[in-house]
Amino acid sequence: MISLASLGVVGISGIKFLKTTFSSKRIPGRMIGASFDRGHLLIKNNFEKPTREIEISTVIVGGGISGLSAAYTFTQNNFFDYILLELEDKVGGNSSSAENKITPFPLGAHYIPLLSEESKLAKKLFEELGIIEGHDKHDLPIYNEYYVCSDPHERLLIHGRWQNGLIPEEGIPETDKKEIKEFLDKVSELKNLKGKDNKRAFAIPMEESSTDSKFKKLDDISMKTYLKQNDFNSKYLEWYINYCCRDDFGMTIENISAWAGIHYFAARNGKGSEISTTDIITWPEGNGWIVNKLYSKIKKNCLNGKIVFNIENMNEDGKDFTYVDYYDVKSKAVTRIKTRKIIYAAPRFTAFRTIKSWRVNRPSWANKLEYSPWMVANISLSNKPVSSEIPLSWDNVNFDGRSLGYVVATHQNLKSKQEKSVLTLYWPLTDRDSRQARTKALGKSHQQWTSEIIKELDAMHPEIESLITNIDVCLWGHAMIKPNVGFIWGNERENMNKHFNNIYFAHSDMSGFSIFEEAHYRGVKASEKVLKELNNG
Amino acid sequence: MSQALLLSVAIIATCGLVYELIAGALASYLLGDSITQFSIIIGVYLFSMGIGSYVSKYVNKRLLATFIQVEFLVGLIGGVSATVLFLLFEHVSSFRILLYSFVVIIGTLVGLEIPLLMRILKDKYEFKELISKVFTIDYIGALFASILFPLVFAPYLGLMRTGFLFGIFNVSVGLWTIKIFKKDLIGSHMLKGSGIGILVLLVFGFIFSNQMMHYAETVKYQDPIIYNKKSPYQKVVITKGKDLRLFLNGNLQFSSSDEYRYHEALVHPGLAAIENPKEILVLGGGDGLAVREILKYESVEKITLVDLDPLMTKIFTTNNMLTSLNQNSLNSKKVEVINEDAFIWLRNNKKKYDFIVIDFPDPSNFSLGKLYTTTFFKLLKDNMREETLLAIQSTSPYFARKSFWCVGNTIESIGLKIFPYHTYVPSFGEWGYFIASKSEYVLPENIKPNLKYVNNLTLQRMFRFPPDMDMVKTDVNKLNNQILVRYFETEWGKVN
Repeated sequence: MISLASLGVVGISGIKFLKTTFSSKRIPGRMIGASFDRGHLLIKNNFEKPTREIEISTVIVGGGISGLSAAYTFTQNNFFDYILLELEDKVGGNSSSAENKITPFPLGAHYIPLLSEESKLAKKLFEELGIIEGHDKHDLPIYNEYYVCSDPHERLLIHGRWQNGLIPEEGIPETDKKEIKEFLDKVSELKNLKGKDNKRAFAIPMEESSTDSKFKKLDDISMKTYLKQNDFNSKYLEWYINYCCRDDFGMTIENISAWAGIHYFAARNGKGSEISTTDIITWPEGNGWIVNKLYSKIKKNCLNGKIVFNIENMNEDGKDFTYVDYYDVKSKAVTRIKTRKIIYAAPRFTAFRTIKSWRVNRPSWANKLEYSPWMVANISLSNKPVSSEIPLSWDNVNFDGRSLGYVVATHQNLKSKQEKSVLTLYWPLTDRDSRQARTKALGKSHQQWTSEIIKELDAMHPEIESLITNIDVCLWGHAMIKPNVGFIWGNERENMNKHFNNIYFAHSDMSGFSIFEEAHYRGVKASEKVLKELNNG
Repeated sequence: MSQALLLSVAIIATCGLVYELIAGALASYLLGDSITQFSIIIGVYLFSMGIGSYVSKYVNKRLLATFIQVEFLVGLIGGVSATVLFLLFEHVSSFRILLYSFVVIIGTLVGLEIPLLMRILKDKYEFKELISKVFTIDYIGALFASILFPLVFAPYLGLMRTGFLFGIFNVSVGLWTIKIFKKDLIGSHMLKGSGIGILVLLVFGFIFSNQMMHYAETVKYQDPIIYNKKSPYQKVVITKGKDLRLFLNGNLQFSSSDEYRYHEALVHPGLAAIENPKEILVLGGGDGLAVREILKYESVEKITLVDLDPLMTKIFTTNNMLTSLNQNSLNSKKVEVINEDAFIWLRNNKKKYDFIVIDFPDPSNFSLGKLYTTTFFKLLKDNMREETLLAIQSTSPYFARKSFWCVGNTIESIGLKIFPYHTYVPSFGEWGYFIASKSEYVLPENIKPNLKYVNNLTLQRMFRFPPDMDMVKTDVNKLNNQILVRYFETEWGKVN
């Protein structure tokens, strides 16, 4: 009798085993993301000599958000004597997107919080693109309601149950809850704190932050140390802060500058008409929506699939100019552009391969640059996973997960019935040594990634494997600059932001962290400077 | 060895009872009236076991091989019984014949088991010992099955999987017997081969029964199902008992006995108040019943009906029973049917209408909740002239008071005037609507004669709200808060 009962139990537990054994089909999909082969051509840098030479007033290198923003600023100022060279076949960089039969979906950055009061340049762009449609009687911006993230926003799987929101609540001891509240109260006070210079302690763009040393010194310690010093010991609080740091910086609290870590919580004070400060702006294709809008306005001046491999500042007959040599991936032709100004909007680590004098003598700040690698997977589903009492949200996170969880690409579409969907799983590779993490990530096959991704999703939805129809794995080797302790307010970052003869720089790595507003700010600022220089002479 | 055979008695007994319980549960599931179903199933099953016992005397040769074959057959037929019955339920004209055939066959085979086994064991025990042992174990097995079935197997495995699992046990007993009596058996390889074949089949059935269940989800309807089809958007079920009922995803949409109340109330208070209405827009309402009411106005020239599901509009255009209910309204030359998502269709449509009817399902989930947001109503406002009226079904102001008023407050928040009203629909309960417009709405006095429910008197009553349904303050429903779905869940959660 007992044997029969145990047979039944064995039968039940065996279902899953048998199911995985019998139904392990190979899931189709591609490896996409940054073209490492193209980037790695730069390391060898043995390109042919140019076969033709053209002359253009300004060259923008790189078509991510900062390069596109620089180009867009030129166009807005009726300046068209420029060209943007992009290494990939499509512009967008970290904000790229793709599309399949089900929906457009992001390959990287995918949302923007309400703009903070200092984000004036971004606000202007939002107005021009129709993201902000006007202002109400309190002068609050009216965000286009189609772009504000629909309810429900976020849910967290913790202690075996889903809860609303990402701040741990379900099954959390009261003492931890209290500590979490204390921390959030503290950082929310910091939002309004101003330094001697009457600037907010933490602002976006970060250059608008107060330079008061009492805030800047937070850059000298790690977030972990800061928490310890302030007697925050709750492991749930630590999980939440660590989650936020991994999400925005691709780093864990052990290494991240406390200034950057607190900036995440204390800088955002955006408001909108009839929406909450925690609302965010998003599209099915993520920030690819902005990329496509910007690209549509500048594409006449844009060349894709061009590897810039040499930039040489020249001085002939007392005249300053610069050569930019690029290799055309398709035609394999090499072209030399004689130009007056350059906006270097590619990530800075590439500049040691392209700028001739830096190839020989690396600048002093070079070894301070560290970038975190990311894996972003887009998982197509024949059906959305079954929901618990807390419904499928825009952002879905597992407390015990290794990734950051997934976002639902079809969340913003207005169809009242859509069974098929695409989930975008975000996974920062936060090993202490980014180089190792990068090598490891690139070494894995599509199938290896697929099985890790399924394992990760399976922990949230046991039925998920049978729903998956495709997985595109997107690897970003250098996704985000890492705000290591000391990087934000150190001399190195200050030095790297100076222009180098005719070369002006624009990239979020100059801010020390990778967010839309910073990339956009750097792009606009660089193009404004170049316009001014060109006008002066 | 004989101990082992006795253990197989326990397994056989458990299996036999489980098949009976599966048939009983399945019959009451699908046919309703569980007392009748269980009682008849048990009777027929026991009777069939009697047949089996009777027939057993004709088995004279190859006792052991026959026993093994019986095990395999019981395993196979019992194992697939639930699945086959579920899958064929919607496709056979007389389900009962199929059901009782299964019961008779399984019962007969199970009836054969014990007599055969006792004869196999007869030389190993004294007669009184044998009888005592076999029946004791048989009844213990029965107890075991009857307790485990409702507590463990039915809830955790479901009927289909339970069937397969016990089929596997039966076949295993057969295979085990082959192993033990290998020497006494002639042609054991053939037997073993067929046993293993059946075992593999059952294991596969067990693993993939969920996928099969997907096609066979025929539960929870009181009346016989006369139509059942799944479109890409929803599951459409029509049942016919005393009345005709339409269910979408298991939720009652109307009953033919009182739908006129709902649809007359949805259409006439608004439409009768418009002078010479010509262009009408209906969102949702693929059943054509609101259109039926609208067609009573001769001045109407064009009705545009936007319903997501082509299956809905198709069956209400072609099925005789349904077209007689909607008086063939969807086949009218005045009607244009557009199968698109209303939200997306509206974003690209700037035409103005004299009267707009919204007959969407209740905001029971976030996808449907979007159709009740400020964003959606703003789009609709662009399709309204100064004198256009809009009528919208807005769930029950009695069961879901906040939800009802939330719809109204949301419409009001985008700058339209609202005029709430309600009516009693027996199969739904108290039901609510809003008329919305840019200008003032005045109660019409020229209500169509010959309506079954709405007349001047009922009309006046509809616009009065007793205190228990009167206005409450609510938030405004927006895409980024979907507060209506939350109200709705809480309120209807309490009712159900």
